[in-house]
Amino acid sequence: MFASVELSSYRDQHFKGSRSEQERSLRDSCTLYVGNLSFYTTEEQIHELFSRCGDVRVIVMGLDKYKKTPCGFCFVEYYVRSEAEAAMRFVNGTRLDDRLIRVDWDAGFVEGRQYGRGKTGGQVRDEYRTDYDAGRGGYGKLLSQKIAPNTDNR
Amino acid sequence: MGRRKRQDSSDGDEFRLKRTFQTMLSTVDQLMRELTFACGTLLELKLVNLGNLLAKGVRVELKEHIVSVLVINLGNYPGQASAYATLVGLINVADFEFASECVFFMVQKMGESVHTRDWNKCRGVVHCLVDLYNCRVISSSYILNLLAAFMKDCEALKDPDDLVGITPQVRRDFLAYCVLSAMPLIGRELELEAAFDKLMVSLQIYIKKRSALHSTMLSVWRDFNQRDYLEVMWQQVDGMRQNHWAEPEHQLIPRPYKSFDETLRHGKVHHLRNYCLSAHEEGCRYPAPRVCFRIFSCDSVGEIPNLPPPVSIERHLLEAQILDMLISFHNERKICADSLWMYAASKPQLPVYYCIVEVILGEMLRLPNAKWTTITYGSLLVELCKRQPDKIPQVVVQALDIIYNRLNSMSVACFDRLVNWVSHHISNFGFNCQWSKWAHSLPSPIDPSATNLQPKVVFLRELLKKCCRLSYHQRIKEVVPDILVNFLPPPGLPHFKFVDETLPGAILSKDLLEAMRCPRASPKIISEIIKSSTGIGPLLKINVFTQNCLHLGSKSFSHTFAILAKYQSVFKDLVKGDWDGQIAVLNGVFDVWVASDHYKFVVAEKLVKVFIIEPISIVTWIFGPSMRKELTKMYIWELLHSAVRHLKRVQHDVEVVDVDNPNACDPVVKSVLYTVVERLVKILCSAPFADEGTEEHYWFQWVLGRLEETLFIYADDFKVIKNKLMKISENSSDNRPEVSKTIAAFVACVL
Repeated sequence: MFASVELSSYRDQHFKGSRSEQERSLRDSCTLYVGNLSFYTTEEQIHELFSRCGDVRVIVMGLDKYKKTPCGFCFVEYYVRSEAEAAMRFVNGTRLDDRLIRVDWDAGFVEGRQYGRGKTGGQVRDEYRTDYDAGRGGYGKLLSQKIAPNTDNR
Repeated sequence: MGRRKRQDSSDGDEFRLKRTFQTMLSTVDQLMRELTFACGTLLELKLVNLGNLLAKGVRVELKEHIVSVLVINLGNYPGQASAYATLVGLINVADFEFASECVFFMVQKMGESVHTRDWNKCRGVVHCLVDLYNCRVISSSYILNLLAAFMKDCEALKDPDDLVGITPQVRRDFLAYCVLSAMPLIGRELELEAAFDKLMVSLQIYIKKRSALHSTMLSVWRDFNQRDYLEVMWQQVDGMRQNHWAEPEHQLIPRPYKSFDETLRHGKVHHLRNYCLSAHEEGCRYPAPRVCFRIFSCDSVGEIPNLPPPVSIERHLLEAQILDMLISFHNERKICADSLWMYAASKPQLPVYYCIVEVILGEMLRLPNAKWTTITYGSLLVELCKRQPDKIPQVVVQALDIIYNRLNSMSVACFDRLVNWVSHHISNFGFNCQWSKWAHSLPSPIDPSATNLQPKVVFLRELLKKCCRLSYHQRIKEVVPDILVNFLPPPGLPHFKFVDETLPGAILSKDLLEAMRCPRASPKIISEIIKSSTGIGPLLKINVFTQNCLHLGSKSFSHTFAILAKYQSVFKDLVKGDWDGQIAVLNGVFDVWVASDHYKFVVAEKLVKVFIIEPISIVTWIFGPSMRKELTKMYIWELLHSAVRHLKRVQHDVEVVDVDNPNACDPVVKSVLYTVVERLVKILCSAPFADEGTEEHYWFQWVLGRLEETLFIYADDFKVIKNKLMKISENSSDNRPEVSKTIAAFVACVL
């Protein structure tokens, strides 16, 4: 039987440590990664939604590396594991700002991880996207560069 | 291959055997678990498969495993007891010894489950044993004897006033419930047995003599009497008896063994020793009393075709099955939605989805407390709506409409749960909701100030606030009809009053702001500026400093929290152990965030979590004179309960757990909770008498409801200070009899 609190197949490639260490910390963690947020969703909204599952200790908003604006993800940490599990069960895959958000275990926030890892500063997924997503800055970064080529001919 | 070659052949055999064993084990495990999702012919097929597999003869180790899985599953999936009974019946035909082991182990585990207070398991095993009689595995005399053992405690109750030396009613209720719920399973077969008749008589006497006073207090609606669950159940079971145990239609009683009648007939009956139930132990907790929850009746909003009447065995059986599915799968909303829907699909003649929505809402609003968090039920309803968009959403809308129209008499104790659920639910569906219909049902003309505290008005206002918290102001403004825009709070922007330089404290504010904006700002520098400022009192200084911090951090929660973390030491120096100082901080929070309940709550909560404000100060402040009007708003109670939760967590971490009494309430928590009740009673008793329909009257009703809610939430903690509660109640009885009545009823019915 599939359990919604089990680890997903995603592993953070930048994790410092072995795969088994990573899995151990994921299993003990009270921190969640929240993805597919709209760039316009605020910390206050996330706080309200995730508080429905328990007391939130801290929220770290994911930011564009260069622009320092929200880029569609965040980390939510609870005081206790059971409340983070509740969020995995009841919030994962439900709507926030009309988007189905993704909730997954995270090994714990480390300074620097709040920034997007894409070349353009946002999340990598927003570079290669070919669809139009109004909540995440329109077309993917690469595509939008092609659509609107550099008009500066000097 | 290379590795295998090195092993000698016997090792290889063992390895292979082990592998086979493991495969067998996981197959059986899987198949047994799958029984829980299936119904109808699918279930029969699965039972045949499993029966064939096990009939081939299984190894001893596997037998042990099967038996333990059986009992675990009975605890986790009590609703599938009949399927497991059928399985044991099929085993019995093939392997008498094995079946004997199963039965023996089950009876043993039932006894243990009473010890470990695992009531679901206990009930599951009882139902399974009862069905084992139907599967010709155990004798009628044994099963009747077992049920009689359960009724023994109930029979001991000779006189309701004679309470000395007998077990608590919750225990007797649970035991009676086990027996009563088993009756429809065996009534037809056993009605002529004298022992069965005796059981029915004992049940009748017990139901008549026990007290069902709690039903008033546990009703969600004051004017809509919800009857005691056990009483209603008795009425239905008795009705079945008078009807000569005619089988309810649509296979509402699951009897998968019926299709195996031919096979099961060949099984031999086991004879077991008579059963004796272990006695009540001090401190043992039992399932709380419950009342019937029905919102869809024959006369409610249009006819619902084929829906069994609210009080009927059919409705009860539907409810019981749905409840069992919730118990089994509440943590996996997708699986739960699937199995609920499969269940509904197996009875196409009945509008089962009405019952599904009704049961989920009933559990969510259940008093004194719901079993799980509101979002557990909410996310399940969202899932159901998504999976069956042509069926469930309209039922939810109908249910919500009925609940909205009954708001005037709804208990305050489940009001917050309702608001939280509705806001969460509609946030998943673009905030679509019956806004205009609801607005038009308000007394016209709609003037939010004239009817400020009417339940429907408060509901709409709080709902809109919650929607704004989950979304944003502009969005909600676009969604709601113009008629409701007055109910929408203004955008929650910060307010910084010290821009007016004539105000006392403005000079300090200006100095602080300048210093805090400077990159070199440190707690030490700020502390010195505060100390050196002259001409204003210490409390104003604290207030100014707080407002400055919040003003600077007003961009988001994170900004605020970062500033509070930076100047935590300054705050602590200023207000440590000083309650007046802490109140000054809280006043500062409310000055800046006057327009945002969300910020007021979250910032105050944070101040408690970082130990700047003590929970007791929150209590003092909430019940202070300036907050009287705020007591009718939700966020105040969110804050209060959050502060108590925080205190509980902290005390739990520091205290040494008392081995003899692990449930004992921590003295610090106890004293805070006591103060909460004391202050609530005081503020209620000093309220002026007012005519019905006036704002003052509504205020009293809201706050009285909050008293009840507080008692309900911390019922376990209040158990230890029962006598003190009674004392508060007695002292207050002169002024406002409602207050002492509420406390007395709580002590009598819930504790």
